[in-house]
Amino acid sequence: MTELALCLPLLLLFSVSAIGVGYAEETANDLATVVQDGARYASLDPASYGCTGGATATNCSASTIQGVIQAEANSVNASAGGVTLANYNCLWSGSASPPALAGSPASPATPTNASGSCMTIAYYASNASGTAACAYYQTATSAFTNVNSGTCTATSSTSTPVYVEVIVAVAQSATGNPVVVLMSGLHITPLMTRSYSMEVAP
Amino acid sequence: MTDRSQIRDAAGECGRAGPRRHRREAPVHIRARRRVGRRGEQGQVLAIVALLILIITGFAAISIDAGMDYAQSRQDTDTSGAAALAGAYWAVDHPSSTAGASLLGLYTAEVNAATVDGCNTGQCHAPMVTVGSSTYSVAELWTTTAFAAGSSPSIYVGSAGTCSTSASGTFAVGTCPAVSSIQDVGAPVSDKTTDDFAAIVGGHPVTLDPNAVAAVTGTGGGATSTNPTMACEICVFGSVQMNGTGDTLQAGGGSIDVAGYVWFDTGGASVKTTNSFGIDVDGSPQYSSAGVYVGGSSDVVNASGALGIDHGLTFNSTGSTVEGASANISGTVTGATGNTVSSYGTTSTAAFTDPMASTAVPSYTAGTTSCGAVTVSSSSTTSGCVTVTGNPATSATLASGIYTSILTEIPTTMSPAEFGSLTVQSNLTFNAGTYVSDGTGIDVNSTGVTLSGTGLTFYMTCGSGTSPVSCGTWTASTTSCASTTSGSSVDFGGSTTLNLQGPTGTNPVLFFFDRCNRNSNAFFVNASGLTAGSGYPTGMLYAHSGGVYLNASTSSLPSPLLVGSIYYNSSSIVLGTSTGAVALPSGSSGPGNLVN
Repeated sequence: MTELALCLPLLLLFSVSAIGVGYAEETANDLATVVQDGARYASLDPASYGCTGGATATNCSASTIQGVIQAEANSVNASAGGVTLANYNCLWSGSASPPALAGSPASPATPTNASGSCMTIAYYASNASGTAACAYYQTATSAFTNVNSGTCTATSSTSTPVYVEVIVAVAQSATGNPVVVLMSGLHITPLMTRSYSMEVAP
Repeated sequence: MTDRSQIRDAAGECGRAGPRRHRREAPVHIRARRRVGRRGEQGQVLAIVALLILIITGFAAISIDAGMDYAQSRQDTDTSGAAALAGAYWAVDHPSSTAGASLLGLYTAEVNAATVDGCNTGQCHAPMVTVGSSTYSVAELWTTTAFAAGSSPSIYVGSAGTCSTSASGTFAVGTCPAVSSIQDVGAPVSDKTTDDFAAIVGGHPVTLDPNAVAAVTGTGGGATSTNPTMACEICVFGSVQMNGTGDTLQAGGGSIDVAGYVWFDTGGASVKTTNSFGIDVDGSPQYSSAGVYVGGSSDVVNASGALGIDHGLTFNSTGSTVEGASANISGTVTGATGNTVSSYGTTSTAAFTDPMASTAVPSYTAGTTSCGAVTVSSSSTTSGCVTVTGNPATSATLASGIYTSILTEIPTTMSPAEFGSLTVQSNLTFNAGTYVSDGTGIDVNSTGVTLSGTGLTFYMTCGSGTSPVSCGTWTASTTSCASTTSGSSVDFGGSTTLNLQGPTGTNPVLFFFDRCNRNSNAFFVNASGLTAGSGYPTGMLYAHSGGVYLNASTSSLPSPLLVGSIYYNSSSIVLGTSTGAVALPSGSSGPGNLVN
């Protein structure tokens, strides 16, 4: 009896953790697909951002970048209901400039919106010192802001390349991950984040 | 006493508390076996559990390592794809047919794309091909044959832009192929897994070498054109000038195409489309050297589809927006700070020309009867071309003929006619046919009038009230009406309801202004505006050289609208609808067939 009492919690912890980690891996893999497809769309049609639903919109038009990302997220792991992504900006409240492009997302903020998810679409232009943000999507105004006007035009793959980065983040609590059930008691809401960058078609 | 207590324990371990008499009746040999069993297993369970935990932990470590390896492999694959696409973009963008030139640009494009995606730091390198135990920093090209599964590249491009037929070969610029011969571009990635847990027990990292290949398609030499499709609902051969605050030009059944410039003189005005239709401004730079001049704040150019602007964009204030689902702006963009402009390419928009330029002017038969000047009122009697009902007259009909002027003060029905002027002060019904004006034109100068009829064309020519003057088809040398004979106009001085339907057939025209007619007020909405009646006005308003002048809103414009200019003279004027105004008669062509 004593041995069982000692072992059962450990076995349960291992079991649930295995399920939770597997669940998280699946979500991460799904989100990798989402950001890749989103960036691909954004690279070919960079101005298709006219989602009119604001930051909380989860059903932007399919002809917009946000809509493509949301539709892709909804379709992955569809048997589990897909992943719902809101049009909430992961990095900024809507006024600050994007951080430097570093190949990985720059510490996305934990989504505070109801669905616990967010996405960021930002464009970066090359200059002598590397890449610098040139435009980013503001959910507050449903518009792109040109940070450095005039340089965000892709005319060449080498002399003036422009890159787009798509970041998505989902709070694990929003995915039904069983690990979160344990962690919620500790007020931990782990964030699953993926990003992808690629060149905009000149 | 001892036996009884052991029996209770045994019952307790089974998780039940049976009746006392059952415990009292338990056989002695069972009690003895349980004592021996418990004593014999002591210590073994903990050892087994410890071993199991070790095994489970090992499996967990392997699983985590495998999961992280998979994620890293996925990231490397994505990186390879981004780099290959960048290389292909470069090839499309530099379609040289000259062999033997450096391909440093292609190589650099791959490196840059891989770097911004997180590679070329740590163990990850791209483009870098792995051959056996060696790695070579090269991009891959397929030239003689297209890529196929398992096929080898034709050419490898080294870090100096030089080329070789093998990754480890001798590289030279002279061996580089012409860019135009490149069919596919590969961007191999070389990386290693981290395997944090496996490393603890001496495990070695696994090599990851994904290799994506992108096809080179397109003609190269620049971005693919994203000009709006010219299925215009509002087509302006000259310019649009918005002088009032909050003025709006909108279309939802086709695009807005402006051959001249768009000028926002004040704030809060907008030019916009819905339903994925675009906006195209060819932009003759007649003001501030800009195809689009945004003079006020909070002005908006918003294309639901593609946006194309030639000859630049100038802002004179802040808070305005110029955007489209995709955008191209050629020329200089000035004053953009504090305004929002879509990310845009710089491809010029296709020149917008009059799709009706070669369309013949309307033919007509007005009769040969000269009807002179006619006033139809309650005091009118039947005479000549006029037939009245009632005494005093309550309604009248006008026969076909040639009128120098017509004034209708009571409800009137008229047949196709030629007239110098037609002044309308009461409801007027037109019988089917073509009406020709050779004087000042149609003037609705009373409020609450309804104009109705089907199968109609109004041909507004030049002339002095005696004979139409036409330029026929449009040519570059076409001249305007003589200065003494301003072209006929349609003037709505009061609130007017339009129940007018154009003819059936291809590209029906409701109002056809002769190409000589350069009346800048050709279609003049002067007071309370136009409203649609039971049927939306169908058939286009075609005025190659004439203008629409607005002092009031009208969502009830004939559509498509092909005019020389649009001028907003007051504030909060709305022209067009966001839902699309086109409802052409059955059997007729829509605007999509009008302009391509």
